[in-house]
Formats: sequence, C-alpha cells, structure tokens
Amino acid sequence: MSVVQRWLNGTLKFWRDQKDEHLRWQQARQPDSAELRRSRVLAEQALLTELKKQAQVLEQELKLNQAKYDNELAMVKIQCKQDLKDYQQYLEALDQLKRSLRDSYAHLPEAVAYTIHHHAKQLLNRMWDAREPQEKIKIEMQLIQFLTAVHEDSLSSSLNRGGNGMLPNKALAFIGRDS
Amino acid sequence: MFANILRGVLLAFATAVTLLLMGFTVWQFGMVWLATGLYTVAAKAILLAFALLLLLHVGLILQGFYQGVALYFRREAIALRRAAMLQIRQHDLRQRFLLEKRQLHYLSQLKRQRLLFTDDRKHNVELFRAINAEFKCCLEPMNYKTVRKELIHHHKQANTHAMLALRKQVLCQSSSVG
Repeated sequence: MSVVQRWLNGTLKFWRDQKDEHLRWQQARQPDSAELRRSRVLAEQALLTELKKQAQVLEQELKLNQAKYDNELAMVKIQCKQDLKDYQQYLEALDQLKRSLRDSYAHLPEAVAYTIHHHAKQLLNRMWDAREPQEKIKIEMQLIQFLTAVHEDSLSSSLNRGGNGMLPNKALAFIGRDS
Repeated sequence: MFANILRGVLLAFATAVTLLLMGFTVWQFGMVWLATGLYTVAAKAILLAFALLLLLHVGLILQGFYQGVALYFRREAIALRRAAMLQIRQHDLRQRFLLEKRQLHYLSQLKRQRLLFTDDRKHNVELFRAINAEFKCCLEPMNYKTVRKELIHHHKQANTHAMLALRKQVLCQSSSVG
C-alpha cells in the first residue's frame, strides 16, 4: 500500500512541478506575450486603415472611370454616326458624279459610267477600310485626284457642246493607270 | 475545455483497460462473479469513452464553424473583400467598356455594309438594264435571248465584271459581224 501511495505522491508531485514550471514560464514571458498581443492589434489596425484607404481610392477611381468610359462611349457613338453619315454623303456624291457624267456625255455607255463610278467607290471603300492614317490620306488623295479628273472631263465636255462622241478620257486614263 | 474532455476520454479508456485486466486476473483466481462485474463496468467505461470522443468531435466541429464565421466577419476580412470587389468591378468595367466600344464599331460597320450593299444593288440593276437595252438594239432576237439568259445569270450573282465582260464580248462580235 505504501509503495502505491509513494508512487501516487511522486506522480502528483511531478504533475504539480510541471504546472508550477508552466506558470513560471508564463509569468516570465508575460511582457513579451503582452507586447506581441499589442503589436498584433496595432498591425491589424494598420492593415484595416490601409485597406479602407485603398477601398476609398478604388471607389473614386471606379467613379472616375465610369464617367470617363461613358463619355468615351458617347463620343464613339457620335463618331460612328457621323462616319456613317459621311459615308452616305460620299455615296450620294458619287451618284451625283455618275449623273453629271451622263448629263455631260449624252452618248456615254452605261458600262463606262458604271466603271468610273465603281472605281470611285472602290477608292472610297479602300480609304474607309484603311487602318493606317498615312495610307488613308494617300488613298483620299487618289480619290480626290480621280474626282477632279472626272470633273475636268465633265467641264471640258460641257465646253465642247454636249460632248457628243467623246469619252471622259482623263478618268479612264486614271483607271487604266491604277489597274 | 477540449483538453479536459480528451483527458476524460483517455482516463475512461485507461480505466476500462485496467478493469478488463483486473477482471481477467480475478477470473484466473476463480472469482467469476467479480470478473463479470468488472467486465460490465469496463464495458460501460469504454462506452463512456466513445461518448466523450463523440462529444469532442462535435465540439471541435462547432468550434471550427464558429472560428470560420468569426474570421469571415472580421473587420479586416470585410475590408479586404471590399477592396477585392472594387478591383474586380474596375476590371469588369474596363472589359465592358472595350466590348461595348467594339460592338459600336461592329454595328457601324454593319450599317455601312448594308448601305454599300443597297447602293451596289441599285447600280447593278441600272447596269443590267443598260446592257440589256444595248443587247436588244444590237442583236437578233434569237441571239438576244441566249445572251440575255447569260446576262440574267450574271446579274443574279451580282457579278458586274462578268456582265461587263459579256457586253464587251457581245458588242465585239456584233461589230465584227456587222
């Protein structure tokens, strides 16, 4: 019985010693632990402040971008509408050109008028589809020169009393040179 | 608290094993009635140990759930989620803008193509009529019918180059014959 009692006492003593040791260790580490806790709270607060600031900045940026994108979209819409209108006007102008050719050259075959009109339209489309501004300008110049040639032809034909038996040679030469 | 429950589980298991060993020992000494009693108590101790283990698991699951919920609703986590949400919205806004811009350009292009198509068709019809009238004047009725068929075919395919080539060919032929 005494052996068991001794064994039990030893075990209890060991357990208490361990607890005492643990308490002493905790007491010794108390300032460090408090310091750690305080620095953790401070770091959390700093993180929170930083995140809130970041959210504010992002919110402002979002509003600005929203306004910027809305404006830009409105501009693009207007630009597209204007482009379409310009294109339609160009087509109408080319129609007018064809009519004026027919008026100036009474016996001009429709095929020739069509070829001239078709060439002008091709130049117009190439100009419209060109991505590089320089290329666009180059084709635009070609179109202007071609229209000028057609206009000059019409003018010279009008001066030559209705242009009977004549062809718009300058315009046709232009087409021949291009093709 | 969970440590105490775990200690209880271990204690219950240790008690059960001790009781089983004691029961085996007393059974060896021929005290069957005592062995039976000890075995019964050992079984109850094992049952208690398992019940405590179950309780420990339920407790751990509930604690994990609570910790997850608490973490989710922490102020830092909320602020972090808000910042991330704003960043995603910014990105989405940019993507939407680019898509809408592309759509506007596409629609504009489509409208232009329609305008061009209408204009092409108008001039195509005019050309067809003019060439047809020319053929009618220059060709004999039998020849005219054949050529007209071909012309209509090219006209339906909107092939103006073929129409012009046919005109050139037919007029050359008729002039050489004439």
